[in-house]
Amino acid sequence: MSKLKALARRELIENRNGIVLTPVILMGLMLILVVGSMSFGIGEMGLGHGTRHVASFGQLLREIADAESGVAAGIVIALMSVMSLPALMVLPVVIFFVLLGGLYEERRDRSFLFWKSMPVSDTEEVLARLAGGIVLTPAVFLAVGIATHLLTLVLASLIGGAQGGPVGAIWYIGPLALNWFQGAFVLAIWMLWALPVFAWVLLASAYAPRTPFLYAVVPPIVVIVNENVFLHSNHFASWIGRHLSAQPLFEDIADGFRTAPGRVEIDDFSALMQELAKPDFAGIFNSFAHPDLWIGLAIAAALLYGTVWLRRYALA
Amino acid sequence: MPVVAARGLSKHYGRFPALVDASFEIPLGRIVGIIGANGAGKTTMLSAILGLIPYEGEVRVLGRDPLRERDRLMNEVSFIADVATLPRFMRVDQLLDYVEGVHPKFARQRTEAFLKRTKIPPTKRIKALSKGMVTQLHLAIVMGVDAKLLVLDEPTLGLDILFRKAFYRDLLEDYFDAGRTIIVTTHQVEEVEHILTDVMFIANGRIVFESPVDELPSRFAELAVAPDKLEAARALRPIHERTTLGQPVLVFENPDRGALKALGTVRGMTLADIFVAKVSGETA
Repeated sequence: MSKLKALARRELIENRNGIVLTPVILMGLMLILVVGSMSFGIGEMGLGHGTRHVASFGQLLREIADAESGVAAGIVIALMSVMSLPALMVLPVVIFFVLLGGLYEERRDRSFLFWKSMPVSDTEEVLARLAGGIVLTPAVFLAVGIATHLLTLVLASLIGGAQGGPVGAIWYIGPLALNWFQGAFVLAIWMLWALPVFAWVLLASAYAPRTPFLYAVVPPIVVIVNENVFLHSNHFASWIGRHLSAQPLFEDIADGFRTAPGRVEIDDFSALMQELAKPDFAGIFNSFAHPDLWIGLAIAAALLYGTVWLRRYALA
Repeated sequence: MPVVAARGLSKHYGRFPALVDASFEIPLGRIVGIIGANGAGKTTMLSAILGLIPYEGEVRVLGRDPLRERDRLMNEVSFIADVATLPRFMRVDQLLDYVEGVHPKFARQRTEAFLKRTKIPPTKRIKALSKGMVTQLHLAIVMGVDAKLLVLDEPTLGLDILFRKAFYRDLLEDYFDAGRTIIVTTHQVEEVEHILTDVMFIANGRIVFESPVDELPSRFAELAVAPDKLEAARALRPIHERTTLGQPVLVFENPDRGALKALGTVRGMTLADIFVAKVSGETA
């Protein structure tokens, strides 16, 4: 087993609840919700202009089968995206706590004395902790999401089929796979946007003599309050918010819809669904054109350097 | 090349001198006991050797700078600092997986063979093991690593006597050989006395005495002296004096044994007694 794999496995074991259990529970709840509504009938449902009464999942499958294939794929992707939404909203919170834990806990229980007896450098150690948060956690969330999407398709086909609907109507694996692939890039670039915030959390974890949560949260709040009181502005707070939520990334993706040929209106259901089924890598990669992103990465690099320094020189 | 070479090694915490100008060399194939009171500087010295803290002066461990090259050094060096430092969230087998993954010189089968002799279940979580078992597990991992230097800083503190005895017996029988060096600190001097090849006494951050253990009996002797011959004995310049059950006992370094025998009963000394005599003499 390689060093990288061993370090990744340790992160997974130490943070199993956050990294694995959280997405499994959230996606599981959404699956139960969706399957429940499939089994007991859906009721009123907005599909295109106006609402139509969709009595059963079988009927929904028939509606989807009757739609243009671009629109149908969009509907499937939209449903899957909505299912993933709760997990996506919790993701930064989980990453926050994964990053906050490791370098503090190893000092609290003195296990750093064991980790330091292994041929793993302090730089490797800090990067492993970072990767546990910003690589491993989103990767597991994505994997659990994909598994849930597939399970949803299987159950929807079984239940919809039993209710007399066309079983194959929702199996748009191609567009869906493209959507997952795109999701991986969205997550990766989201992490780059949020990196200065996450690197700060890691530094707090390496520094805090106790209660790392307060060490991570209080200093930014002090800065925010002082800026507000003395300068009457909120630049720092909005900077944190922008980076943590990767606001420019999602704005670029939304812009992709608005500037699409024929200009998609939000109320034009078919066009929106067709647009949703197409990947938009231009919008995603436009992040790299924002100087903001690069400034954030430079700040993150400085914070990570400080974290490595603390772990090398300031333990004991 | 010595395993450890230090020149002018010092460490200050603020203005407090935890370790002052320590210079020493430790060759291969030795078991060195570092003996000192709490706060004497033992852990500081070991931490510097292991690259755990910054220091002043020069230290080379197997030719490397421990602070800057700790990761590479740990291919050849093992240590147990403090009791029960293993990660509590892991299971025993997961911990072995980890060490196997990151350590190129780890022979898992050696560790597993040693573990089979203990009552440690491989699928148990470390937090569920007793303190003694965690220490056994740590020793088992050390046994699996083919290191040249093993540093033990109070590895058995707070464990019961059966664990402590077994720990040092296993270390001597299954681990130590001419190709390795062990450095150990402990409060229970009498438990390591019989396995040490060398001793180093530390007091107030300074090395006050170094010697191979086999030279100690010829070098130190204590004299239980009759009260009427006390002044004559004192004239021979003892390094330490105490009273046991009303009888004065004087400790001599490099004494004229013939002269001592004329004044009372000459006895050999334990390591702990030599330490007390030597260190309280130094600090008086």
